[in-house]
Amino acid sequence: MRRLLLLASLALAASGCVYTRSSAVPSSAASGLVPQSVGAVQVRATAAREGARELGFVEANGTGLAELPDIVEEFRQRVAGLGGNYAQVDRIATKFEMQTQTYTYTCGKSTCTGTRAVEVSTTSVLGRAFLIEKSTATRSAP
Amino acid sequence: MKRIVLLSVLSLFTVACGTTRTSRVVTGKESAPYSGEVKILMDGTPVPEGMQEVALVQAIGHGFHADLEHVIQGLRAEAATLGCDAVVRVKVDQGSTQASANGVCMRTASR
Repeated sequence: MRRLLLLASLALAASGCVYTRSSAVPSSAASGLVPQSVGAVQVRATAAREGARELGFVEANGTGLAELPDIVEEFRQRVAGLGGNYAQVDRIATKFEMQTQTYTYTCGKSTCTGTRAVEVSTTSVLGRAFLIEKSTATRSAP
Repeated sequence: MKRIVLLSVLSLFTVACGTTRTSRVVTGKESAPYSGEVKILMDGTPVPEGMQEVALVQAIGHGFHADLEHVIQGLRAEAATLGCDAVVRVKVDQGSTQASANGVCMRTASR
């Protein structure tokens, strides 16, 4: 019974592993000189700003139970880090990977080791950072 | 101790039966829930003109819900609560024990 409880707890703990990370690349050497944005960053998926200046490409991803809001927040922070105030989401995709996890449990008076296969999901948000001036109009993306 | 065991067993039972988890990131303006049928436009389908972006939506199905039917149903339900009448750029990714659908929740501007 204890072994069952331990396994159940381990399974729940493993599935609860969450983390997000991100990366960004400036579009040009000049765009890398824009200071970090401290104001609000607007996020859009289907509209592009007229006259917006593209600063770079941004990717953020989350693994395990990371939810879309966590990943988009990571994405937003990366856009701000590039000096952008407008985050364009171009693509959201999820991939699944089978991983082998090792766990230990008490067997008699010693500790035994076992392995199990766990499917881990990674959701990735890919897009671009833009800097827009005030009073520019929004247009629909093609 | 009995309570912990019960909770663990219930959790595993729930996962085994299947669940659909949905989430959203509001990027536009929400409105009253939509009671009609929410249209689904897969990624690559042109977005009709006259629509306003409301949110990014995601549905993840586990266990017996790890299929197209349940994740699309999840997207529709999440979109309806935001007042959307369509989810566009929908992309479905299928794993062996999980499935995911992402899309952009839209509302017809003239509605």
